[in-house]
Amino acid sequence: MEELNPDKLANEPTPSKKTFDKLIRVLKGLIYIILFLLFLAFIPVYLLFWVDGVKDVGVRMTTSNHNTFNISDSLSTNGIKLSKSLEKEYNKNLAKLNTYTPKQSFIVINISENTFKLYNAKRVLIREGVCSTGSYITLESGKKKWEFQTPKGMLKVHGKITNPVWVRPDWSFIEEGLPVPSARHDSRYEYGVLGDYAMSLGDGYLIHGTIYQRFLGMPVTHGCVRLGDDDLEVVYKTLVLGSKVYIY
Amino acid sequence: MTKILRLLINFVKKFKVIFIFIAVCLLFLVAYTVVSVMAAKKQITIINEKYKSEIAMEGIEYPKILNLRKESAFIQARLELAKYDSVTLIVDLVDSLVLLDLKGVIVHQAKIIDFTKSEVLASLSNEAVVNIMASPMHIINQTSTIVKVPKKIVIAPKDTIEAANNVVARDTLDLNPSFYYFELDNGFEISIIHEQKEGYSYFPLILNQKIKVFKETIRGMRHFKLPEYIPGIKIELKKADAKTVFRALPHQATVILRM
Repeated sequence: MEELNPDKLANEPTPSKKTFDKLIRVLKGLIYIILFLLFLAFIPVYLLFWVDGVKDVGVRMTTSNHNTFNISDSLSTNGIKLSKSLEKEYNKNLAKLNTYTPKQSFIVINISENTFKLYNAKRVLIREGVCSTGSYITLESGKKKWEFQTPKGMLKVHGKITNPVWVRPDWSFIEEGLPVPSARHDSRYEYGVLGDYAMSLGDGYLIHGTIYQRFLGMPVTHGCVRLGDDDLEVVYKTLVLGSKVYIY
Repeated sequence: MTKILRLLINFVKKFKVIFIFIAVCLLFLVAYTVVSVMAAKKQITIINEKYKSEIAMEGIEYPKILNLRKESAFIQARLELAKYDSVTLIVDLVDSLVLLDLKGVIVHQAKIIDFTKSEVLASLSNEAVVNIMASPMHIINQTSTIVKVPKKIVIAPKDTIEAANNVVARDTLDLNPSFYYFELDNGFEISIIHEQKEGYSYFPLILNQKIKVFKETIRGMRHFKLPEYIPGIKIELKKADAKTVFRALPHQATVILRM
């Protein structure tokens, strides 16, 4: 029979210490696994996103700036001459660029946001507000097609009309599921629906009023630009024949 | 030879495969970064060479003359834009503005909330910067989360009852996040995002853009070539501005830069 050695017994780990060691080992393993997973996740994040920042730092650190400046404010005689000639050229080009700004009142229409800005002849903004522009709807009826888009670009006011009458085109009947009447049929003429004023932009497009005030600010028209009553009056009175209309 | 092999075996035994894997990955990351930096540096040389003046620009070392030259170049480019019938884009990084120009008239002005530009663009020679500003660039490709023209097709109703039911939903694309990037003919890229407090739902497109760069770099590394580096400008605009700018520009719009 083996004799019990008290020293050996004292060195042997107790069951609780054994469990603690096991726990530590498991935790250690878990930490390693988490670290490894973090490293794996770091790789694509770094390659796709963070590398740009590192790249920029790398470029900054390794590129010597070739742009050497003469920090003295005083220019030589040649420098002064050059500076004057450049200033002259700049002012000449700036004046040339300014000739593109209209000399008459003009209006700018944003068809994405359905807003307008009206400027007077002095290029001062005098009114801004909401409008309605083309709905981007394409109406298809058999082989016929109508696209209800407001044209983009620089147009001009070709005509000014008070108390305009709307002569309904074919698509307005087709859109409502009605039979298309003859060209001069009474049902084609509608009074008061275009507001008190209209300005022609060519190709059948108009800036006019509307009885559907609740739709202002929305893309709901057949290509024309609709304004609220008060805005329409100001726009009509400000724009002249030939005034530029910028639509974007 | 056997000694080396034994050393290697011992190494593997000692540090286990996992450490080798990590080492290989780290090595790859370093190589990828180095290649990317080298490609960027090469691009600086290419752009500087491409936009080098035939006759040396006099007085460019003086800040006052450099500024005059830059402003002159910018106005010259704007004059060039005025010849176009369609809307053109002006990215003004000096005043933090994105402008839409139509026949020489600024029709829309959007304040840049924030922007970042590749270090490559900041490291160019002054001469190259002046010449870039003077030369309008053209968009060759546009990628976006929103549609350019929100077209809807409506079939003509048979009668008034069908017409009454034919209500077309409003421009629901308004709700979409705006993120788009323009690839320019000179190799630059301009990305525009709507302000980030509106959410990051455009993330998939950003990821696509990044994956494209990653693939290009890997292709270069595989063939022991430097990948093509795309210098870019990333601009953050208000949501409405971002949508307006994208929809106003035609597919092959002209762009000028002020930096």
